[in-house]
Amino acid sequence: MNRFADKEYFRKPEDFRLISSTESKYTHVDAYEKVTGKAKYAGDFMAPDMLVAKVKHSPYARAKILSIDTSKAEAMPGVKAVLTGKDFPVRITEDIEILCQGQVRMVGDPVVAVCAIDEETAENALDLIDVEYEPMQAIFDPLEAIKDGAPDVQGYGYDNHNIGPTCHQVGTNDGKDIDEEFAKAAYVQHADFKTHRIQHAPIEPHATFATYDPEKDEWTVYQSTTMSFGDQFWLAHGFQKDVSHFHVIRPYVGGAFGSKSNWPYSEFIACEFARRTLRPVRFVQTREEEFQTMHGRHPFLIHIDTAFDENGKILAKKADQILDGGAYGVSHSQFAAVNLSALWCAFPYKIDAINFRSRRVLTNTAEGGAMRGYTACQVQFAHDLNMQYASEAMGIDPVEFRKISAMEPGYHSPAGLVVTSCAFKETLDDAAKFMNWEERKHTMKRGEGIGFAGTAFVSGTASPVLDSPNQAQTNATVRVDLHGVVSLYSNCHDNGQGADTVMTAIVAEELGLDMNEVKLIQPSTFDAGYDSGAYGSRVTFLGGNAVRRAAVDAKRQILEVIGAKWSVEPHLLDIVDHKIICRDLGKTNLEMSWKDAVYATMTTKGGDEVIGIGSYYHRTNNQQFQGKPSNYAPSYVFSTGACHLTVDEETGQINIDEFFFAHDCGRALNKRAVEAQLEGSIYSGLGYAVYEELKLKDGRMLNPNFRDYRMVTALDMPHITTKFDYPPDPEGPFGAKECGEGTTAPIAPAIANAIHMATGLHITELPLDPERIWRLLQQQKAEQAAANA
Amino acid sequence: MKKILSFTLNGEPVQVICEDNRSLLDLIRDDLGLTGTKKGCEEAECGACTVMIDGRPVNSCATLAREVEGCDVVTVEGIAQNGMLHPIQKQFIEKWAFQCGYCTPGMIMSAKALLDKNPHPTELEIREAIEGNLCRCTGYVKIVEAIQAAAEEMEQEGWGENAQ
Repeated sequence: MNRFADKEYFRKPEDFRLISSTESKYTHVDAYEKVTGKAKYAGDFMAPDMLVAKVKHSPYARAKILSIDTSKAEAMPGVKAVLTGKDFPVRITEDIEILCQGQVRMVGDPVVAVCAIDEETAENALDLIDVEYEPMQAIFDPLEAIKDGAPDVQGYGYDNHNIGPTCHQVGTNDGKDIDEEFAKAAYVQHADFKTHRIQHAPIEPHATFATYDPEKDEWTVYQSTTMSFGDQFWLAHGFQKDVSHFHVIRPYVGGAFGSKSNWPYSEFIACEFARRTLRPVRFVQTREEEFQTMHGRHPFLIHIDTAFDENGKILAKKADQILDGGAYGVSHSQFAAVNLSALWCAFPYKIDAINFRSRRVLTNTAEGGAMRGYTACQVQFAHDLNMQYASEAMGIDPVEFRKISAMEPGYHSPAGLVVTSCAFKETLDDAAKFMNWEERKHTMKRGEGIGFAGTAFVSGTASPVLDSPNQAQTNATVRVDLHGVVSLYSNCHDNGQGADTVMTAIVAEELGLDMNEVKLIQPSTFDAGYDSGAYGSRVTFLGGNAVRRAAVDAKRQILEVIGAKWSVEPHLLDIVDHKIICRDLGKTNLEMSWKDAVYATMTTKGGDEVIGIGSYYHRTNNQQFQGKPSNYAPSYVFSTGACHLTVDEETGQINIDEFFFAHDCGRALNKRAVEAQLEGSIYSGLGYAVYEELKLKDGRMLNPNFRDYRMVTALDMPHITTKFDYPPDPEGPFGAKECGEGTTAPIAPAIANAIHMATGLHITELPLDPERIWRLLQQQKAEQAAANA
Repeated sequence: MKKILSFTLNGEPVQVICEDNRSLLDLIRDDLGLTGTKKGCEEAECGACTVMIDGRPVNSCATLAREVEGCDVVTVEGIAQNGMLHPIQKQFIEKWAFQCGYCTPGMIMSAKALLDKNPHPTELEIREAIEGNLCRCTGYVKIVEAIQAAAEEMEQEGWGENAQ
């Protein structure tokens, strides 16, 4: 719909009752179900005649499948069906086979699936299946994979050094000539960085519960997902049917962090078994399967050259980035990683000339993919450390140094990015003030450090993943019944971040109702309008704007009827606390209850219900990645992370005693939820920076479990202070912007910069675990001894 | 081999026929239909399956069902009393102490086991009690606050004295 339609009916900030309120009337819509165990997640669905599915995985990183013998498994009592690659002839997202056909490309690739009466029978059946492989030379290092003559990781014959058709971006965004800028630089900082492999590891594994109705030729799929319309689209593609055959229902989702924006083999397998057996099928992935097969954070190699003038202002930047893409994702699914990694090079500073190259290279390892702070965590780690080292080289205070080139409100970058609201400098100032930086920077002892890091992120990935009319990615409907009860039909995906709650609050705010009076229809692909999913920090901004417009469309219809009765311009009416009120001078005594107004409206409309519809779009394209101007998102967010820590030089252990986080998310719609998102971001960033690493040997994961893949516990968390009261965004719903994804990005560089201050170590790699810090300290000692000798 | 197993579940006597190798978690979820207790790792690391056995917090995924013969087992479904949410549940809502909610039942059961034994825990004692419960969303800040607030509320309302 027209983005500007009905804007005169929007709730004015002075009338907000729920937005930004911390009073108890702002309720968590799923609270009761979640604290009592009544909330049902996909793996909680069951039926008496249910079957379970399991998969046998490849033990090899790259091998030919010579033969598969399933006869013993099929003969086993309790086994109902067995599937192999030939049962799924169609590939998903171009390069993914549901079950491998002829070749495996990574350890953990799914090869055979079994469906049985219970898990034990299914597991025993897997052991009876013989798969004969011929191992092939596998390749694990992207620098090897990109060489001339390297083996073809996938075997599909893409003849371009294992990069694939869409995973190579190169371009120049130049307001000025980049070579001239470098030539006149007072200082050029060169640096190389390397980041590691981690995983989302939501506590709820991927789960599917599928049933099939042969009369309708229709599947009902309860799926742990953050992109249910993507599941529907790819299921339809995989089964070569129309989307109308797939009713995908999103129950409660137990965390995702990017991992549930994909189409796991388990859902296709469960659906095919349901069709073959005509019985409900449950497939819950094991924790080891999760680790082996989910698309975690891409490891990166990054080279940066940045040119500064004599005052420390950035003149120009060159960045060359190689992403370890793992075995899949050459096309639709992961080209965003390449695009975004190029975009982040420009953030959060004003840079007149940028030259970048990003290449996502295939290796025989698990696929790299979307994870909270999609590629921003890697790229901005490197670019922020680069700023830190440059500030030192130029003898300028690191906070001031970042402010010199910091983006500001109204900035238009040569890449086409249009910055609307921006409080980046304020977040830097607030962090410096909180840390008492001006005083403490002169009094720090060896082993003690304060680190700052500034990053930015998109507020709403606008380019559609699947085609949609006018690029509108959320269609919301608000229905008001004859009693004035409101139902919200919205598929804005809640994976725990609170989408259901905030969408309910938005409707209640616009219609002057309490949250309990707005009923959220639990969504599915058939029960409510299209929503492209919870990814790319799009839900609150893009989805929230659509839901708000649906509520305001309903509101306008009611006010038009009542305005006509009162002979008042409808936009001079408002709905506040269950009453229609009049703001026309001289008629401010007019008032009508919400219920009476709804009844009167329906009577006037011949008995029809009031239906409000809303959508929202930000039209964009990917041209900036080819060096042409384009504005990726409707708005951008800015963050500063800061921490104080000490380093134990005997052990390499760090102790973070204080973490401060300032985030410009515009106006916080729900302050407690925003604060919780920031706390969770620090948790997540701390895990990335210090604790978590998936270790591989010959492509096999050495630690695919929670014992050896060390996640941050309640005892590991530092003390946290957050700040997020910055000016509202002009376009965000009620002034809100992104919170909770990009906020993961400044954590690792803040910690690294603090360690650097404490020890003088020149950090270029993650994670900053005790072993790495200890080794770097030993190296530093040896170098100092050699210099003194 | 199958056996008849008798124990108390959420205050009610239960008799079930159960395989020797059945885990308590699978028994509770798949056989008895109480899906509030969650499965996160099946290797006693994430704590999502925490239940109380005779007052102790236990990972039910790593407990054989046959071991609870004669025991008193409490799950998240069994801690509200007399139509009232338990103070820990109330404070988890009040403090916004969950996001996706998947770790929440196990977290609440670990907190309850702590507060039943130690009504005035320090912050460190709370963090130690939930160290085995992994939460991937919250950073634990609001969970710790909720448990602290629940301890205060339980003292004021005398919940600790009626603990199961």
